[in-house]
Amino acid sequence: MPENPYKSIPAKLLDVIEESGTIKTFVLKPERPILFEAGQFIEMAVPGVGEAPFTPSSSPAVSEKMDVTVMRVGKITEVLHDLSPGAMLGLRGPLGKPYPVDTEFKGKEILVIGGGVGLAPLRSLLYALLDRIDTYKKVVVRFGARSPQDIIYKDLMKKWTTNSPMDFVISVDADDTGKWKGPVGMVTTIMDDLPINISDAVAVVCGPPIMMKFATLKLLELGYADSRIYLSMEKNMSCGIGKCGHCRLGPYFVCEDGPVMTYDKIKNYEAIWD
Amino acid sequence: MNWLFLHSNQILTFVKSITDGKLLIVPVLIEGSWHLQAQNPDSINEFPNSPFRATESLKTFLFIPAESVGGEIPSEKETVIFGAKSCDLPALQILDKLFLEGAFEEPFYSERRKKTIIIAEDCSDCLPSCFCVAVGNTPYPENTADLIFSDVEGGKLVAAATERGEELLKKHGGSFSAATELQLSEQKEKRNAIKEKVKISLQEQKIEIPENIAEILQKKWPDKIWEKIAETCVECGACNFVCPGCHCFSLTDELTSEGKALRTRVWDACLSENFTRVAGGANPNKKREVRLRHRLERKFIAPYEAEEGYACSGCGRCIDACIGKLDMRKIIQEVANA
Repeated sequence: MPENPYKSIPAKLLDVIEESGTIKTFVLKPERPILFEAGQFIEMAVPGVGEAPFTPSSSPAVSEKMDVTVMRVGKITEVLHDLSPGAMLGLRGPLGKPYPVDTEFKGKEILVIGGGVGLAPLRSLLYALLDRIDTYKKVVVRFGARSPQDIIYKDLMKKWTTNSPMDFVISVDADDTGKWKGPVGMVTTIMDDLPINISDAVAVVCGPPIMMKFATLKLLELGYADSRIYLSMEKNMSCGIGKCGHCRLGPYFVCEDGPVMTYDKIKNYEAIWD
Repeated sequence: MNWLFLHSNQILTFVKSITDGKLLIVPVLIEGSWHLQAQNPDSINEFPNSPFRATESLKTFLFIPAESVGGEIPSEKETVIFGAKSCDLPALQILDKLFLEGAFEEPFYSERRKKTIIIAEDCSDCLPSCFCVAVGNTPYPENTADLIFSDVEGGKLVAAATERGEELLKKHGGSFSAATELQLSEQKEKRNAIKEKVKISLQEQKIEIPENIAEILQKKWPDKIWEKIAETCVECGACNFVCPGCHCFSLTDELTSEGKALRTRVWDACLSENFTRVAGGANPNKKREVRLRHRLERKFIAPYEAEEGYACSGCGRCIDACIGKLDMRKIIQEVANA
């Protein structure tokens, strides 16, 4: 008898970290370790309320605990945001395909473009890249936030932008603090003159759909090949196991064939950015 | 196929023997419509059959409308379904591929599929909504079912189309004889006649389905055509629910009155507005005409649902079920002529 893929693994909520006005990180301890690779996702359930897909934001090298950063945006995330440490949640996964950090990325220059809460799944990718930093020629990160207040993981970002093996720049759409010293403008405005040899590079894009669209168009304009642009296609991944049909995109199930998909695979289908 | 002959005086013995102790599902005529229903094996007095497909498709019994899936996988009862038709079978291949293959096997479907014997028979008549012959199908089964039956003078021809079917014939087949040339040519004649009948029915309704449906649907038609077509769709999802090959579902979580978390897998419909909506409101298939076209694309463009050919077998259930009088045969015609 196969295992029941709909059954969640109970996970205890150890800690809740407030990242911004609408974003919290939930630190979970699953009853048994969940080994995931960067880019894979999990279905996180509030028992009896519902479940939704999230990509862990912690390091894939850590299996006994898992961080999931969640923006308060819908029915389940609202319930999640009201939870306190000690609550029991459910996890299913890992699901979907990871970034090819040890294969296609190997020996390349890696450009990571992120926006908004897209930093949450990218954090686990960046941990994975840092773990094998010597296997890449370089890692360049360009990240856009709405305002300095909306930047999550503030301490880590300070460290990564000032003292890390990555070339990491953050821009804000608007500075509402008057104290921002970095660039101001959409993330696409800091994508010119990148210290990247495009012919030897891969690009990763993760963020809100509108940002992904314009970042991808910018990458194409810069000369990136379709097949080297890795996009996080977050659709309505409900069952997460390639059966329920909610995340269909052309012939693909985003939950099974993605959520990380290269642009060449999906560019001919409608509504990829919606 | 290796066809055997079962004399009419042996048929009931065979049916009783094969259904012994199992849950029996047979076509039953209720107020002019054929329905697949559970029946007490003792009340069976003749070979269970219907002239054409029943209202319910096989998925109703294998991928049931609502099922608790959050806990243990129950052991299902051995079941025999009589009355499957040729238009029920391609969908079974789609469901098998989806639920049994890939990275995850769907254990609830798998358990039922393993324990269900499927017995199919040639159609002897057709409904106005039938269009199997226009989408590469036939009104007689040729594969996928465990056993296939055809009516001939004095009894029935039977052949196994699966390993399980072969075993059933070995186990219950003491009274079979090899089909004669005469019986085989009678079967061929009857099969050609029913095929012709479906064709004539379509001609009489002035339905001409073009051969290149995938190509027609893939062209970027102005949305206006689809807007007009979708005008009468009320998004009830009936087409999805009666379709033998539609498999979309939702998982719903709720608390029981005892405070226990319950997870249920329920049929869902890609025609409903929130089917692709995500938290925050983004929805790639927000427009009704886009959802309607999406459903047709899934049925006719390979490899979206079927690896090759069409994922629609022409059963016409969606046509009969639609309260908005949408007829996919006419939609295809309309788009082709636009």
